[in-house]
Amino acid sequence: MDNEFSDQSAPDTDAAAGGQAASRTLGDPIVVTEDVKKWFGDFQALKGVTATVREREVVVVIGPSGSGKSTYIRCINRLEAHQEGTIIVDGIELTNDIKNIEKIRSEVGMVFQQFNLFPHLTVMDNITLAPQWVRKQPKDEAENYAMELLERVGIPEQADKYPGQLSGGQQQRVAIARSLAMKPKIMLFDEPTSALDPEMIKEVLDVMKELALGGMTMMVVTHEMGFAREVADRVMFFDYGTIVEEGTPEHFFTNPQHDRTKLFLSQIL
Amino acid sequence: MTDEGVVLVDDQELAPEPPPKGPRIWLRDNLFSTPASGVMTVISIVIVLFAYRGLLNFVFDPLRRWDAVTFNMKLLMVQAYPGDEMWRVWLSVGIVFGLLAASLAMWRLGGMAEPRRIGAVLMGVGGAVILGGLLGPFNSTDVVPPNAPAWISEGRIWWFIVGAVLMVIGYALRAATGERAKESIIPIMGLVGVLIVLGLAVIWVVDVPVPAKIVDGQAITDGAEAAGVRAPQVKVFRPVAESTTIPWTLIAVVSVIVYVFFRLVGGASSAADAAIKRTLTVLWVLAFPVLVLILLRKPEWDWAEGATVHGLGFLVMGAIGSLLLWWMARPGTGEVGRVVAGFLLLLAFASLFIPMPFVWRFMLLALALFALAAPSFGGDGSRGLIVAWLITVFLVAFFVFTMDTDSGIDVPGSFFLGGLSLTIVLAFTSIVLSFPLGVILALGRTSTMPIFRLLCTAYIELVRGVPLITWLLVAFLMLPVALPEGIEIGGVLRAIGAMTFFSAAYLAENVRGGLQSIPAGQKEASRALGMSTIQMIVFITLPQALRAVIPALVGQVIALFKDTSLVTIVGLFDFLHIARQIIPAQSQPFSFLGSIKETLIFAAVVYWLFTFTFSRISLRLEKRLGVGER
Amino acid sequence: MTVEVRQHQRTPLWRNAAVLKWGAQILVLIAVIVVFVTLAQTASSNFTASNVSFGWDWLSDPTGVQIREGIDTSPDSGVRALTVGMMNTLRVAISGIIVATILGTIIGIARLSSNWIVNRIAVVYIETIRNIPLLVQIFFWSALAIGLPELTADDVGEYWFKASNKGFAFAWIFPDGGFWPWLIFVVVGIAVGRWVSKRRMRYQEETGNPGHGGRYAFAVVVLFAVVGWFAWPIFGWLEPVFDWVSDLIRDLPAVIVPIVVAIAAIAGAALWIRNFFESRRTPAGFGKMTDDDWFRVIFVGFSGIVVALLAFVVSGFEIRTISGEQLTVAELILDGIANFFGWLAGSFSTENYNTVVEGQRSGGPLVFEKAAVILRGTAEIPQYGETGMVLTVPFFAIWTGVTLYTAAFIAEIVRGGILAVPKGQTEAAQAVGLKRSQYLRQIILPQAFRIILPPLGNQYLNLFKNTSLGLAVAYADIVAVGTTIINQTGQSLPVVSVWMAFFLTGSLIISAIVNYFNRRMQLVER
Repeated sequence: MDNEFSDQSAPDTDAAAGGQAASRTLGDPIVVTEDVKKWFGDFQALKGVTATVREREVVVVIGPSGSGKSTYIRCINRLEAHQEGTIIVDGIELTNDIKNIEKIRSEVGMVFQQFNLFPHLTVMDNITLAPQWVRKQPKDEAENYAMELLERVGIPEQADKYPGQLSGGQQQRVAIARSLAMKPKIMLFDEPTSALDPEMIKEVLDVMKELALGGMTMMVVTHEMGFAREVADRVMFFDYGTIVEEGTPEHFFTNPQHDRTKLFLSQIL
Repeated sequence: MTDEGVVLVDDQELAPEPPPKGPRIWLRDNLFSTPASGVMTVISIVIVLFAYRGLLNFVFDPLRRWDAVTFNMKLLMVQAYPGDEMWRVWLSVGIVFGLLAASLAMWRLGGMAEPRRIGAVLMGVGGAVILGGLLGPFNSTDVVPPNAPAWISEGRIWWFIVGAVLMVIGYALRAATGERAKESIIPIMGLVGVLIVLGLAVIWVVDVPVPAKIVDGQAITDGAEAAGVRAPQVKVFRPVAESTTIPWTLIAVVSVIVYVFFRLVGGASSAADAAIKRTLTVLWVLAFPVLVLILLRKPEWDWAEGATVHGLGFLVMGAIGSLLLWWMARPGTGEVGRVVAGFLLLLAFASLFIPMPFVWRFMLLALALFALAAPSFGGDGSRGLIVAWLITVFLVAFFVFTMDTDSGIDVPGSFFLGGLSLTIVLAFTSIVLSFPLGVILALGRTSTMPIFRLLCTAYIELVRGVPLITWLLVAFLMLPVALPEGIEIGGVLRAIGAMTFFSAAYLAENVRGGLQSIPAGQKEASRALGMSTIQMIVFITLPQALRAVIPALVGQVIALFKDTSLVTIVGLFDFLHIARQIIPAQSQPFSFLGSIKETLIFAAVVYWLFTFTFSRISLRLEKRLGVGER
Repeated sequence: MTVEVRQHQRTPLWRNAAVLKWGAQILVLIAVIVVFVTLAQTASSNFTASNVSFGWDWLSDPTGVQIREGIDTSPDSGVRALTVGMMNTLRVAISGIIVATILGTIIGIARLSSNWIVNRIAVVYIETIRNIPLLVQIFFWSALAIGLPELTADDVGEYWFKASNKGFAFAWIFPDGGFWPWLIFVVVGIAVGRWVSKRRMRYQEETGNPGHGGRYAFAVVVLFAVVGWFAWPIFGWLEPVFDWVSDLIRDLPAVIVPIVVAIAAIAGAALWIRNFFESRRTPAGFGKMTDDDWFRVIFVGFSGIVVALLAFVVSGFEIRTISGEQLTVAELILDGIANFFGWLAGSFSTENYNTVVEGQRSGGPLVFEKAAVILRGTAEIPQYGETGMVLTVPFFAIWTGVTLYTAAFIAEIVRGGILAVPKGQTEAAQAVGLKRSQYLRQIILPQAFRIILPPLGNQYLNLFKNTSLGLAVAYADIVAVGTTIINQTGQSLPVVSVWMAFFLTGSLIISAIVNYFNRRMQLVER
């Protein structure tokens, strides 16, 4: 438990003061990033991001578009490769080592803005494909667990349909079930509700809340400030590729310190 | 062509809209909408009439040697296949038709048609037949051979009767269905059944022209008997030979029974359906090699040799491979497996320089590929992986054994088949072989690895930039000298090789289109789920890409089928070669010298039937899969 | 749960993604090279065993190849024979492309006609032609032409059109003595016509009165053509100028040829690459270069260097001309250019002005000739004469085959392109009151053309490659001539590489032309 990054989790201690978060006890650091930098050509998307996420913690990442927040969480399961700095997920450092990459990806679930369900497979096959072939689970076991998950997200009756036959909200819930089927330790959400019609946002957010209550470690990029206020243990504000400000939702929304944060909040609230 | 003649309409709207309010309005709207359109209509009608009359005059000209086609039908289909082994050919055709019938029934391809359209088609055909009776060169003593059957010599009246009957049936169909004439209520497979019955009736009833020599008032039509007879050659009309009529009838009856049976069996339960479909797919895959290599080739097995020379070696290979794969697929093995697989791959390459039978090199390469795939497809599926390996070993062993065995079918020339059957073998084999190569090339060209991309791009562009005939000439002129001593490849295999490599480049471009149409999100999602690159390709990108390019792929299949005709230039005895070179040069037992137009037209009709059917199936598939809707 | 951080662990090589990626690629590259080298070694050892060695001597050696038609029927060297074959291929390809485009467009539009019978004729044409192998069609046309009646002694005479089993002969218009000077008039006329037309258009825009730009331009061109018909001898002074240039070139040292070619090749390649990079440059820096792009750049650069090097190698070859002289290729080329200027000088000569010499063509710019059947040789075999246009049976078969075949595909492309223009465009055009002919020409066709162009280019490439089927009906195209040379000399590898170079270059040129128009269309769009 003692390690060289333990001191970096110090800023999180006040997170326990949050509303719902009080019911959860945070565990050890599970995602540790240190001075992560990333360039796209000439453009520097991440300018040294240092942060730590602990087990069972819910972190909401907000910021204007182009601020690097999506890039940051995509680096965490190496959908993008960072160029400088260190990312450690569940004790494994992300390098070129393919074994580590595969291991991390199967332990970090990710939900995308555009759902990215596989259109040629049924909902059931969408969910069981990866457990069967990546986790090497027997088919029956994978299907049973998939049904369990579909019940949790509230759409067990859609198991044999194709994604194209579902509404946006249902698709996103399938996408969440698909990620959960891998029994991940961390879930990443990249603007999960941005592509949804307003009446469908709630059904997805409800699933996410339930997940948070169940003790899942989550990093959520979103513009849903209500969700951040209600569920988050901590809010990070990104701008120009760095974390400008972070803190508990209470602290963040009522008493922002930084000018850019104030400006951003005044624009969206 | 003036601008007035152009209206932008969708294809569906182009159907000959039957008169909603009467034929006069239809005529006005579709033929005489503007003065320019009227002029074009008149000109077109004149052209059509002249063309139709020309066609009839050409076809029914007594100088036409259609007996060159009917007499040489066997030559055109299977070249010199021995007569007492012909049951093998018929059995093969029967198996293919049976499978086709079963598949049509299980996959419910066919759909429904509107009585109105069928009625319109029948009435149109009837009208054309009556017109033919008016325009044709019948009832004229100087153009109709004296011994022609009644339907030609008594001429027009039969054409009028047939045409009128067709028109009445067409009209009755529309009248009988009344209000529902516009709905799709007639199953297309039912129509196919009617066509089959009609076809059988034609085979049994209608006479065809055959060559004969008249001796003592008797017409000798048998080629063997006529061989030495020095008598003038004439043309007589005879029924189709029994040797053809009876097999076709049997095949038709069996196919219909199979269709009805599977139609009744299918749909009972989805599990049983899936099992039947899977079995049918396996049978289709097995059908081709089994038919061509075993049934048609009649291999003269030497089982003792097979067991000792081939069996033992492959048994060991299968056992070692299975053990290795079992070990590789264990979750605990991890990356050591990759190193072993890589080492195997190196070994496979190295085997190129170590003298050993070619098949061992191939097996080593196959094992290396299986080993590479093991971490991705092992785990719960490791049993499946080992089974797949054992099947591969068995198939390779069996094919090597088969190829090593002499063919029991003894014909002049290097290959036991010729004519249309060779054309089909060439087309089918090249398509099947070029498919994996094309997919690999497409993956390489869209890969993120620059050297792969460059190699694949260079291959594709180089092959596509030069005509197929050049590659065929390369295969026939240069390949023999470039191969190491001891390896000789026959003409048919060389043609298959050249067409495979050529077609793969085109297929690759089609597949590439499909791969590029897949949104990046699909790849990200599969990566985020922890899939390896191979898993992503096999489970996510390829299935979607192939589905998106089915029309283009069928187009490529059609193009390749047409391209097989080029092998006639390098001297293979394919369908076109026999039609163009062999038959017009025949002088014994009957002379068909110079009958090239007849045989070429027959060849054109046969090619057309194949390609046109393909393209229609492609259209149906496109609709069924809802391409473009997703 | 403990967090073990192995901060400075080293990734083993076999697990490093980058190493694996590049290792695999390099391994495959090595494997490909090894396979090629092995094949090449086997080939060379097999050839050594059979006493054949590949080389390029056959290019200059007399081949004894007889070619049935073309600019030279008994070429004196391999290179000459191949040139004849290339010209024959290009003759089919270029005229075929032009006619197939026109025919295909007409049929494609007919396919969309609201006139039911016109529509059906187009459908029958397309579905018949598309679904029958091209080779069958070519054989059919050949059989049809060979089946025509023979020429007999009774046929001797002049004809507007004559068909026989020797092919087709018909009356045709040919350029004559005053053609080139007259062409200068016409070209100037077109330039002036354009200028006039633009002025009239501006007049129309300014005043609103109809400008009739097209009519004015047409009148100007006709005027120039008519004047030029009689006035072309005023360019007679060009004759001594070209003569002087011709003599000048004849005196140049031969080494200048490869130098000029090499400079031109490298400069051309460099310029092309620079323009290509320019065209891919976006405001944000270099746009994305795809592999195709890199492949093109490398190919162009490489071919530039190869051409430059080849220029020096090839110009050293000695070739025996028909007159028996031994000349190097460079000397031959210089000679050729000098002869070209000599020919130009002759073209501008006013010697034959308005005089009709017996047995020769008239002195005007153009001449109309009827076809003739004559008796030739001591055996008095009836044949087509020198006058009029004569299409041999092989040419007719291959040309008709590829043209009709490609036209069917072009028709489908044209139809698809027109249908792909959104219906809203038609409705909008109708809403602003354009007549059907107006909106077709101004709205629909320009938009359809952009969709049509890329697949049309593919069809041109197919037509070009399909001309190689001429081999099957003994048309003397480059493949047929090459096959003959292989049969006589055994030099398969060099001949095949000439084929590949020819077809790849041709494909590249067609793509370049289509891309040029494609780019222009895209620019118009913005």
